[in-house]
Amino acid sequence: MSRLSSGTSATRERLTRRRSVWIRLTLVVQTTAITFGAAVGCNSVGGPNLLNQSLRPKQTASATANAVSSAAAPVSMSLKDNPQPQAAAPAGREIAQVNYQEPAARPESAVQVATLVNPNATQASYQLASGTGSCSTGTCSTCGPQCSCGGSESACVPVAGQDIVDGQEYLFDGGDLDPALVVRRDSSIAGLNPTDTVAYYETYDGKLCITPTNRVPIYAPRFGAIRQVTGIVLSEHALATERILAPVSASKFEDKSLASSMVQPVAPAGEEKVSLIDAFRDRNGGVPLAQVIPPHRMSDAIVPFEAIEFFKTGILKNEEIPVLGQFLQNAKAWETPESLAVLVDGQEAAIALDVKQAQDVHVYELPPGKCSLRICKAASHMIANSGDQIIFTIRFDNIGTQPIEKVVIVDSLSPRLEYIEQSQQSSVAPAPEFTSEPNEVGSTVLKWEFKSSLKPGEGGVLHFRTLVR
Amino acid sequence: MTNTITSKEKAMAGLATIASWLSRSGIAVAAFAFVLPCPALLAQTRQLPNVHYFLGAKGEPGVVAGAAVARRVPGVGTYQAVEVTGPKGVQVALARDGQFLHTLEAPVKVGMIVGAVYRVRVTGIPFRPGEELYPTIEVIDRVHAPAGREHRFPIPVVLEEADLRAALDGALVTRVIYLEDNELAEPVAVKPGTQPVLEVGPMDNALKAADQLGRPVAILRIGSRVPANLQGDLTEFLYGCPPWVPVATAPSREAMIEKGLWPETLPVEPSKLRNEPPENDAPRTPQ
Repeated sequence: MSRLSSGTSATRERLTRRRSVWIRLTLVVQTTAITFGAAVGCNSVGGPNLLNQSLRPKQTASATANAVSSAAAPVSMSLKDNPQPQAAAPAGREIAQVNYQEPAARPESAVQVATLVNPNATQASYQLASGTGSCSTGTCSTCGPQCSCGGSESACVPVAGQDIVDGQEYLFDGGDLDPALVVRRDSSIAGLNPTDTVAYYETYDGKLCITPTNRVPIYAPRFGAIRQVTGIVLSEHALATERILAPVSASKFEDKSLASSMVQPVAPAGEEKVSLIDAFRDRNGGVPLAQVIPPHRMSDAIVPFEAIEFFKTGILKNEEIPVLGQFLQNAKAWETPESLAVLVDGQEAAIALDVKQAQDVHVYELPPGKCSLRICKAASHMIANSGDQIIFTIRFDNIGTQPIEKVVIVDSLSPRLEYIEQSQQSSVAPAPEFTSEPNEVGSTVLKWEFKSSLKPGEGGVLHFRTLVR
Repeated sequence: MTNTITSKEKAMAGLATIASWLSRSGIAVAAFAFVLPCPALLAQTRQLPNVHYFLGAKGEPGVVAGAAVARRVPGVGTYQAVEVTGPKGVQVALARDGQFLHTLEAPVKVGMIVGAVYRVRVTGIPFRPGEELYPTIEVIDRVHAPAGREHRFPIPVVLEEADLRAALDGALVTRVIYLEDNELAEPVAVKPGTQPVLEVGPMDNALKAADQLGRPVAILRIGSRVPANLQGDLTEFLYGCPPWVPVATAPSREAMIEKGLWPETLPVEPSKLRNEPPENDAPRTPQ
């Protein structure tokens, strides 16, 4: 008995010692795990915020990534787009550093942090003007409480398009989603997705150019409902027992239940990317005033939002940039008195309307075959309900020095937009050949084929009406 | 067959033994702590769709909203505009301080808290006079309307005549209202005040179906349950009687045209919109 008791006590002691070892081991492992988790969280996109990020609406991350990729598309003629500025400069003259940042050149981490710290639609987003980082925390009177300027109050500029929380609530039109549009040898096209608006043309020496428009968002959510009716339907048809002494079971069972399968009219094949709006950034898109052809063939009166100078003549004036930005929601051509003035072929560009003289002169020689069509799209309403009409306007200009030929503009509408028949108009003469045909999502593909070439400085306006479904 | 069951039972018993041993020894906690920050799993969590895996619309009202609160879904606790519409003549009464207020003629637009359950009283049903229903509205998510335009984009809660008839006959009608994915939306025109409806069977998960077509934002349940004593304390019947705020109903364009407050827009005449050759070179001026 004593051996048993001593053996039991020894066993209990071993168990106690082992348990204490386990407890210590557990504490060590848990401490290690917590430390490891914190390190991983810091190296990634913000530790605990990352878990919250996964609970966000499903297209936020993809929309942000798509915005970066789509914003990288060339917007006709930009300074970064011209690869020969230094080679064309006169000897002995230095090229001034242009304060211009491609949206795609931002580091990916900056985009992700900017998305993480701005979950609300009413909260503005900011980014360092240098493009090398983003404003995440801290205080700044210019940028608000969610932004840190690093001591410089003027270092932050608003980032267009960052206030879209859920792309499902928006209708998009314009741009060129992946897969990008391609033109075959027989002039047929492929890769025209719904909501794409793209112009393709040939330059003077036969080079094929494809230029998408900016992407216009319209807030127009639509709601549906899944209806399910349940109840005790079978009780009315239950059969009574035949005899009292018989086994208590139903002699016959009629299945009166409703259909158990769901017929889904539109099978969600996958989650498509919904990109944010593109950036409209162009400094040298001037058209000489003497070559502007006014839209005198428009039989309809100009709608109010088209009454700005950009849509009438193609000249982008400083005072109209905020108004144009309201229509595009993404105007980013922030003009300053110190901005670069541009001379193309010895002719002063329209952007040089500023009273101040240019501080420096750079000579850019455009190589032959330069894609030089500037195309811009705007919508008459930024928010819409089902049943509303929206007027889309497309402004295009040849801002190059060579004529372009075989210009074709195609627009594939979203399934929520219905083209109103015979509502399109164009301001160029001769009028382009217009065709419309259904696309794969139940909407319409609009196509304008220009019969004549577009000379330098020439441009025009297309507009059409749509109905929000 | 017996051998299979026996082997399964043995396997389950073995797993239960291992699990209990791990939980006693603390390894389970440590293993969890190691698994959570795994970079591969974190990369997967970014791609998680916004779906409700273990939830359904058949549960008690408040379960899905409670899960949204537990997940800290952005927008929980904020007011979201909701519009209750129904057949002509239907009246809706909201509750405050444990009692139903006076009835309002539908449509009724109100701001409800995301993550709460509201019970309303529906009377004045035209085809069943004298009868009343007490449906519940469970707000589980919000929409992000532009600031100052929230009243233009409420969550539509539609009380259809068929639903009211079915509920008065003893059935339970559940409608999961979801925000359509515009990329997947059906290319059909929807009249104002209506919404596309998809029927599912009683054995299906309506919430999962809504997940596949968009983002669920509210659940409407219309049953035949009535309070035991309408004059007593209805706090439990009202699911805590959460607060709400009134939302001004913006007049529609048709109503303003009828009252002469909005110029009537002439319909588009395609024949006048065609390109016409200019009569002369002078630019056109407005007449």
